[in-house]
Amino acid sequence: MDAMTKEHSPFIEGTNIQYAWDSTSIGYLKTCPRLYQYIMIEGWTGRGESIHLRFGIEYHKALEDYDRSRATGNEHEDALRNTVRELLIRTADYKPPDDDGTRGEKLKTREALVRTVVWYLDQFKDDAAKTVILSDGKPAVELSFQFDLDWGPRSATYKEGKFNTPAGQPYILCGHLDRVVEYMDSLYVMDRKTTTTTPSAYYFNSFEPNNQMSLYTLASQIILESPVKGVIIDAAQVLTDSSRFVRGFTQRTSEQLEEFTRDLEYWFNLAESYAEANYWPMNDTACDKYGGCRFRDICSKSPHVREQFLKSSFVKGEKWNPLKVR
Amino acid sequence: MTEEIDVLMDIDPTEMSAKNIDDIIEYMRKQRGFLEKGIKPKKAEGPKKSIDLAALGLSKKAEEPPPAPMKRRSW
Repeated sequence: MDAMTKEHSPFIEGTNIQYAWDSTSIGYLKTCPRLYQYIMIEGWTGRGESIHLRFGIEYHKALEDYDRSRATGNEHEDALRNTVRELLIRTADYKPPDDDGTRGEKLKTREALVRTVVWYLDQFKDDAAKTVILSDGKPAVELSFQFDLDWGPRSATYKEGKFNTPAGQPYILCGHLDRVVEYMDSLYVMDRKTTTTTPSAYYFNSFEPNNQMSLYTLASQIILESPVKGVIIDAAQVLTDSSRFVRGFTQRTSEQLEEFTRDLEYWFNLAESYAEANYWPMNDTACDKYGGCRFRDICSKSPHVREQFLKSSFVKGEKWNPLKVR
Repeated sequence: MTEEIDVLMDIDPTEMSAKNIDDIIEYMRKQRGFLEKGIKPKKAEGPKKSIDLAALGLSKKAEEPPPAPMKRRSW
């Protein structure tokens, strides 16, 4: 482990106590502590997951490029052309999905990526949602946030009467906002998502309540020091020969955000207890959520053979790090 | 058309001309236009291959005559 990696670890040194949390890692913990263990503590990733991750990263980067270009006064056609050029350059090494991949993986081709970007940007070229320009003149696009909570891990804060971390490590909430927009005289975070399922009312209902959307609303209010109402979710459905887009809204009251923050204290205490016990229990009521957990086949095996099955279906790649700068 | 986009997408992106980029965007827009008009994008037409079902062990046997209808017994 080099100095840089050590510096950016979201865990307190020498422990499994996570102090820097983003919505992804909070989501794993809330869904199932064992899922959290496999991904955050042990770093297992599915072999096919990289295609979804790459597709999502490139899609977001392309839209970010476009938003920045438009915010500096470029017309739609020029901004689109530059965006597509950069996208093609970045994805020159894009590997086509495996033949034996899932239906969702097979849809995530390079051509589908370019098509989804072009169609989305054409559809919303005269969008009523306008990018907010920050006080420093920069567009509010791909904003990284990181802020301290006013409490930290119990065991890591005090040991033998003093902090055992450099300055008494508080918990940190961090993440990235795709874009902040003004829409109908109100401020919203805009979050772009790609999905291979239908973005129906059922899909949008899953964001209310939702950990990620609550955190984004909270974070944007802190960054902008303004009453951001909630999140606009632009869902892009990727199909075999087409892509379609559906926009949804989710709002949060200040009371809801207070409750979200208060609840985090309990969740983080729980995470700390698991880390101290070096045991993350299975939540077997969550295995069938969201089309079935990726580790379902592993957890269905007897404990003594799970490691073998993990090794055959998953790889230990780069661990998800909420502090990683994009 | 499908082959055309494949060729365009295979060009080294650092050597793409402005026209190449415009052609890709235009292709994507045409695809959307087809879809909105309810026209299914045309697939590439390669040489038709005949499949040897017998070689795959899938050939149907000569149809046997249907069984004679059951006679209803009267009790």
